[in-house]
Amino acid sequence: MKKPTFIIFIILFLIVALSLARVVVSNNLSITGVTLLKLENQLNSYKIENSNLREKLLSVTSLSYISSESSQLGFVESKNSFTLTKPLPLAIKQ
Amino acid sequence: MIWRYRAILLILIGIFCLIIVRLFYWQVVKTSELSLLGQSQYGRAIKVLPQRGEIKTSDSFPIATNKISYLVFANPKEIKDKEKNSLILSHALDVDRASVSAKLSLDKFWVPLKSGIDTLEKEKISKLNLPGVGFEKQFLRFYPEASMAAHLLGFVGKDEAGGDKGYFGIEGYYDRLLRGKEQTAIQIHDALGRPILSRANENSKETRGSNLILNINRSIQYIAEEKLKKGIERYGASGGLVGIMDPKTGNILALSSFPSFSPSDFQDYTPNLYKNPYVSNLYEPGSTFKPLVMSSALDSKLVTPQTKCSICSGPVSVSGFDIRTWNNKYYKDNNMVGVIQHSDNVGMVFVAQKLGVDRMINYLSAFGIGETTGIDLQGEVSQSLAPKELWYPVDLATKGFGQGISITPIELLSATSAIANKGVRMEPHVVGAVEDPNGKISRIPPKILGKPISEETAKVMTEILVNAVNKGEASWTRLKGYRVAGKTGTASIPVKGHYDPNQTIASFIGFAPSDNPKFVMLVILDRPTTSIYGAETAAPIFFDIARNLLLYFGVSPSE
Repeated sequence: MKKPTFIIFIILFLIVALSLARVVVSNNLSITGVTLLKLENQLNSYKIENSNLREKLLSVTSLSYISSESSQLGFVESKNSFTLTKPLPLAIKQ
Repeated sequence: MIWRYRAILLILIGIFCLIIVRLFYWQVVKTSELSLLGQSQYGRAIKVLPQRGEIKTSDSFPIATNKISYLVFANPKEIKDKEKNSLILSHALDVDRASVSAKLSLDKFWVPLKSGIDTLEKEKISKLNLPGVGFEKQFLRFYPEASMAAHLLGFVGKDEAGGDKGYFGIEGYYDRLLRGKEQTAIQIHDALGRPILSRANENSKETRGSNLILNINRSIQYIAEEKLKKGIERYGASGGLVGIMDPKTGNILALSSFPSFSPSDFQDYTPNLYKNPYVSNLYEPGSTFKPLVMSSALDSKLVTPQTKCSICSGPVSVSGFDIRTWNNKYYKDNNMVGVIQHSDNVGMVFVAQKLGVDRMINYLSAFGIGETTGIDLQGEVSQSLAPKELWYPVDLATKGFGQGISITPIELLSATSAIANKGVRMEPHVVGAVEDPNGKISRIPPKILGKPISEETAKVMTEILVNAVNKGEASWTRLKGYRVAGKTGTASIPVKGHYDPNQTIASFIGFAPSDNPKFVMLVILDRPTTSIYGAETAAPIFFDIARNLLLYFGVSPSE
C-alpha cells in the first residue's frame, strides 16, 4: 500500500507545481501587454521629439535662415575678390 | 461473433476516415479563411501609411521632407453637451463654431475636425480632456528652405481617394517612387484590447518611399534665386527665369522662376503659377537662337568666321517683308564674327539662306529643337518644327534670327550646352540618385543625346561667342579676367498677329569658363520696363550670377 500513496503524492505535487507555474506564466503574460503599451508610448514620444528637433535643426541650417541672420549681424556681400595664383600657361611662346 | 467484431472495426475505420476527410477540409481547403477568422479574434489589421520619401539637394540637405502633424477627429455619439464642446473646440482649433457644431450633430462615429495640427496644439487640446475627441498622426510635407525651387519641386496635394499625391515638378514626375507602398500590420491584443505582442507582418523600412538626391546645388540655387529676384525688381520685369546646367553631364545645377508659389501653401496661389515656365512655357528666343543657326552653317562648311555677308549693307526684303537690324545700323561686308557680335539680323538672314530649309531642319532637330529634352520634370512641352512644305522663304529668314519659332527655355539651354561640350548634347537631368528604403543608392548615369556639331565647330563658335561678350552690346557688364562665351537676346512678343515693340523678352545665354565650362546658364526676363534690351537687363543678372559661380567653383581669372 506504500507504493500507490507515494505515486499519488507525486502526482498531486506535480499538479500543484504545474498549476502554480501556469499561474506565474499567465500573470507575466497578462502584464506584458501593459508594459509593451508603455514602451510603445515612450518610443512614440521619443520619435515625435526627435522629429520636432530635426524640424528645428533643418530650419536653422537652411540658407535662407543663415542669410537673414548674417545680414542682421552686419555681414555684407563682398563685391571684390582676389586670387593668390593664376593658372599656369600650358605652353610658353619662345 | 467474428462478423460483429469486423462490423465494429469497419464502422470505426469509417468514422476515422470521415474525421480525416473533415480535418483535411478544415486544415487544407479552408485554411486561409479560418486563418483570417482566427486572426480577427486575436488581432486587428492596422493600415501603415508610408512616409513620403525626401527630396535632397546634392549636399544631402532635405529641401522637401516630412513633419509630424495631427488630424483632430471626434465621435459625435460620445459627446453629450454638443453646444458647449463645439464652443471649446472652435476656440481651441481656431475654426468657425457653426462648422464644428454641424459636424458634431452628425449621426456618425467619426468626423474629422481639423488636420495639420502641430504637436504643441495637440498637447493643448489633449489637456482639455474632451470626451470623444481623438488624434490621428499624419505626415505633412515640410520645406526647410521655404519656397526655394518651388517650381522644380512641385507640391503634394490630395488624390480622389484623399491620399497624398505629387503634382508638378519632381513631386509629380517621381510620385510613385516617393509615395512608397502602403503596408498592413496585425496588432495582436488581449481580451481587453491591450496589445500583447508587437506588430506582426510589419516591415518598417518598406513603409517609406524612396528618397531622391538631386543634382541641384543648394548654394547655386540660392544664389540664382536671390540675384534673379533682385534683377526682376531692378528692371521692373513681370517675371524671370534662370536655368544653370553642367554641360558635361547634363546635371541641372539650379532652376528658378518668378513669380512663384509656396509649396506648403500652394492652395493660396492661383493654379497658373504651379507650372514650371522653364519647361512648360514656349517663347520666341530671339537672338539667343543665333548661335545654333550660325554653328549649323559653320559645321556644314557653308560659311567660315571670315565669310563676308554680301547683303548686310542695308535692310533686306524677303517675300515682300523688310528685315532690319535691331538698331537699324548696318555693317557692309560684315563677317560672321561681326554678325554675332552686332547681333545682325540681316547677317543671320544671309546665313539661314546659305543653310537652306533641309539643312536648317536637320541641324535644329539634332540640337533637339522641336522635341522635349527628356528632363525629369512633370509638364515639359515642345512645339514640333513645321514640316518642310510649310517653310516659306520668310520663315527661313526670320527663324535664322530666332523669330517665328517657339521653344522652351530648357530646349535652348540643352541645345547651347552642346556648343559648350565639344558638340555633344547631354540629356538634362534633375535627379542624380535614388535612395531606396533600405538605404541602397542607385546613381542615374549621364546620357548622351547626340552630337549635332563637330568639336572643331564648337570651338570656333565658342570663340565667336567670347568675342561677342568682349566686344558686343553687353561688354559693359562682362567679367574682366574671365573668358565667358555668351549671347544676348531681345525678342518681341507676338500680340494679335503683330510684334509689340515695347514689350520684349530679354535674355542672355552663355557659359564659362569658355575653355573648360563649369556651367551653361540661360537668364530670361519677361517684359522688363527699365529697358527692353537683353544687354541692359538679362546680361547684368547673368554676369552677377556667373561671378558668384566662378568664385564658388574656385576658378581663377585667366586673362
